[in-house]
Amino acid sequence: MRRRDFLQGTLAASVLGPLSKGCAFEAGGRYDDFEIAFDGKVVVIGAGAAGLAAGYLLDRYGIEYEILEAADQIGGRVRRVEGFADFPLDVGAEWLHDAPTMLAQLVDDRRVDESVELVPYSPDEIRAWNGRRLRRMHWVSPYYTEYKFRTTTWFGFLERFFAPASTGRLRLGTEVVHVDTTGTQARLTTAAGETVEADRVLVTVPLKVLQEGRIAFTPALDDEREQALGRVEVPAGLKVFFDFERRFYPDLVLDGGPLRSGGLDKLFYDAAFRKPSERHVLGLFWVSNDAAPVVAQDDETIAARLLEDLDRMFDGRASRFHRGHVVQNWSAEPFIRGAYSTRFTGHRSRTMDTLRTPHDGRTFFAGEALSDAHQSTVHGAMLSAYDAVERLLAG
Amino acid sequence: MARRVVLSLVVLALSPSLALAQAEAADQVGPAPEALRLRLGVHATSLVQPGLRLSTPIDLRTYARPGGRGQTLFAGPRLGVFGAPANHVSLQLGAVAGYRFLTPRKRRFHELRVGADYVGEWQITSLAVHLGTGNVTPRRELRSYFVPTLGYLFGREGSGRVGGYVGVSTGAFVSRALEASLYLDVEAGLQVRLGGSR
Repeated sequence: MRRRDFLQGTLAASVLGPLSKGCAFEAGGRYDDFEIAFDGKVVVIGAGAAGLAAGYLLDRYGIEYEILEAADQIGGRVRRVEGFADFPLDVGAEWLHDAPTMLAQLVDDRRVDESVELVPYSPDEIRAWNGRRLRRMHWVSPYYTEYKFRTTTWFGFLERFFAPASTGRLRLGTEVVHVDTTGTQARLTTAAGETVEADRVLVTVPLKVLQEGRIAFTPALDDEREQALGRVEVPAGLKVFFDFERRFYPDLVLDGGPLRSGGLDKLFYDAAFRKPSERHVLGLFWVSNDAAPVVAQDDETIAARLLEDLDRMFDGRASRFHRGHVVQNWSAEPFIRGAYSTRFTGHRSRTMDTLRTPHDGRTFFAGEALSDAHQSTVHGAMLSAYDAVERLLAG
Repeated sequence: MARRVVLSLVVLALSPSLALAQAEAADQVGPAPEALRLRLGVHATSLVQPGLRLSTPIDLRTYARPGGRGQTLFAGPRLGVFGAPANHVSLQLGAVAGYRFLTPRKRRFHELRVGADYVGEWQITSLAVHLGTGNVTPRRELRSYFVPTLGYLFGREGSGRVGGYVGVSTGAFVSRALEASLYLDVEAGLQVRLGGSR
C-alpha cells in the first residue's frame, strides 16, 4: 500500500466511522510517497530532535506510537534558556549547519504558512588566542557561513512544529533501562519498574548513553555493534553564556588557530550577533576531550575559571564588566553524558551502517551520530529519524 | 594592517615616478601606441567569492627601449561584481594605474598596478524561510568599504586584437564600522585592444 492510498483510506475511515488510525493528513511532502508494511505500535526512546521528528512522521503516517523520555523536558541536547538576556539562548545546539531551506525540508508540509527568521552567522571580527595574545584572523570570515535563528531557537522550532504531533503520546521522566525483544512483543522496562510493550522500538538516545550501557538489551547487542559504538568519539560538552555591561570582545575568538588542532573546539562568540538585542552576551562553546577536567567541576567553579581565561585575553575587562552567567554542562546531564559524535575511529560509513542496522530485527536506531551526510547536527538527527521510521515501517 | 597597506601604496606610487625620470633621461618617450584595452575577466575575491570584472586600462605614455622592449604607463577605471550567495552581493567600482612591461617578441606583458576601489556590499543581515514552500526572503544592508590594492598581472597579446591575462591582487577592506580585513583577489580574462596598431 502506498502512503497516499493509506492516507486516503484513513481519511475515509475517519469520516465513516470510529476506525480511523490517528490524525493522518496530506501534507504534500516528500515523505508522503512511502509504502507502509507495518501495523502495530512503536515506542520511541528519547524526545530529543530525533525522537520528536520520529513522532512527527509516525503521527503523519497514522501509526500508533509512544515516546518515552527520561528527562523532565523534551529537546535532549536542544535546550532553551529564557530570561537571561533579551533573546532566548540556545544552550544546546545553536547553529544550522546547512542551507536555510533545510528547515522547510524538515517540516515537509506544504500547508504550513509560517516563516522563521535566520541570521547568517559569518562573523566579521575574528581573533585567535594563542595563550599570550589575541591575533587577528579576519581573513577566515569569507570562508565561514552558517545560520542561527534570529528570534527563536532550535528548541522553539521543535516545540512549535514538531512537539505538537506527539501531544498525549509523550511521557516525560520515564527512563527506559531495558529492552527485551525475545518475546512476541518487545518489552521495555523503565527505571521505575514499569513495563511497556511495542511491536517495534526506535532508540534515539545520545550515543554516549548506549556506549555507557545505560540501556540493557536482551538479546545483548552483538560484538560488531558494541565495537562500532566504541569507535565513535563523543567528547565532553560545555556551553556557558556571560552577560557583560559592555562589549569588549570581537565577534569570535578561537582558542587556538583555525588550522590548529582544537582551534575550532573551543570558541568564545558574540551570542547576540545579528540578533535584535541590546545586551552584551558572550557565549562559550567547548566540545573537546580537553574539556573533561573542567566539566567535572561545579558550575560556579567552571564560570570562574572561564572568567579568568577571558581576563587574560581582555586585560581584566571580563571580571570588571561581568553581570551574570548561565552554565550548561552537557557532560553532567544524567541522560546526555557528553556533547555529540565528532570523530570515528576506522571506517566511518561502515561503522554507521553497523549502528543503523536493526538489532534483532525490531529495535531501530537514529540520532545525530547516524546521519551519513549531516552527522553531528540537529537536522542530521531529524533526517536520521525519518530514515529510521521509513525503514521501520517498511517491514 | 591598513597602515602597512598605505605605506606600500606610497612606495609603489613613488617608484614609477623614479622609473619615469630614468626612462626620460635614457630612452625614447612617446605617446602610447594603443589607446585602449577592454578587459573582461572572471575573478574570485578571497578565492571563494566569484564575480565578473570589466576594466579599461588606457595607455598614457610608452617608454620604448632598444630591442622593442619598453614600459607603458596606464590608468583606467574598472567595474566588477562579486559575491557569496549565502552572504552578500558586492559592487566594486574604482580605478587602477601602473606600468606594463612589454616583451614584444613573445607578445607577453607584465603589469604592476595599484588600485583604489569603492566596494558596496549588500550584506544579508537576516532571512525569512517560509516553511511551507521553502522560499527564502533575505533582508540586506549596505556596507561600504574603501579598498586599496596592489596587484600583478601577466598577459599575452594574441596575434590579432584579442589576448588573455591572469592576475592577482591584495589589499585591505577598510571601513569605518569594522576593523580592516584582508582583500585577496585572483582574476583571469580576455582583453581586446581597441585603436592603435596591431
